[in-house]
Amino acid sequence: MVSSDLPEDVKRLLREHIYSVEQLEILLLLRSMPEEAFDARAVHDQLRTSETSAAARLLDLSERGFLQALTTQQGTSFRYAPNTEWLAATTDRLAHAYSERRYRVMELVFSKPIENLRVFADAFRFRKDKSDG
Amino acid sequence: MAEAVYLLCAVASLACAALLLRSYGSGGMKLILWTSLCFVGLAINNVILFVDLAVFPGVDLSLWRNLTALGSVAVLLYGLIASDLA
Amino acid sequence: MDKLALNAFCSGAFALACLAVALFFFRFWRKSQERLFAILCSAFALLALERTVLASVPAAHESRHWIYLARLVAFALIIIGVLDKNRPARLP
Repeated sequence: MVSSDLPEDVKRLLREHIYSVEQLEILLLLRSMPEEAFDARAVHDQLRTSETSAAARLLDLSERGFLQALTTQQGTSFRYAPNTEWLAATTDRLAHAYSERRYRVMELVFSKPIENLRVFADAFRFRKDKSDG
Repeated sequence: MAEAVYLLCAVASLACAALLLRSYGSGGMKLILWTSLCFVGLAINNVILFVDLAVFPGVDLSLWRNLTALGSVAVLLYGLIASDLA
Repeated sequence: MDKLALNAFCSGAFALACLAVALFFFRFWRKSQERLFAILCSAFALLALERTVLASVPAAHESRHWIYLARLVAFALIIIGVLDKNRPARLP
């Protein structure tokens, strides 16, 4: 391990909440425009990721407390609105770390046992949905 | 009544095993295989329990019941330890 | 080996193995927040409990003892967990 590694709380945030690069990019996209509400279509337009996948990530991020869901007649859209101070502050530091040390962040995302846990849990599905980035 | 319960448990266990084996078949972690084998074993255990109580009440199959139960969970436990997850 | 002793040995080992498996799933649940793991943890903990009660109550016959319901609940939980995992996503 390098002596000047990422801050501990950023590592903890990654460990507990972030399991794919796609999810991370969506989070940071919404964070960069906090006054905008995004739906799956908007995310697709910005990041070129599949809409189904984006929809699942948006829902997941809102359940984790990063985003606020807004339901209208047109459907559900999401806005960046972390529900705790720690989440807000640490996501800011994560965004900074991602711009400065992208590969280190990605390394931490990929080496996570949580990803494998999700894979294990997905084994209990009837239909396999390869929705991940 | 209890006999019906054991049969239900056997069916439930077998259904899980089938689901997991299918997942494992389309390229999966070893742990999925061990879990499905555990469910197969538990299904067998419940069937033996049913047979012991309802079909052959005179014969004591307690040893087979115990061994299948223990074997099933031991397989899963081995898989969990070896999988190096979390 | 004496049959009774062997049965008792296997019973005890089974209960402890179930408990260990439950602990693994508990840890998985804490790490991943996957509800399925919490359900599996409870199911295996119930199986351990059932075996422990059966061993503690003298001469308990499995069909005349209410404890067999714990086994039913355990497997019902597993089925519920699987069904819950397969619920369709809520977003359009």
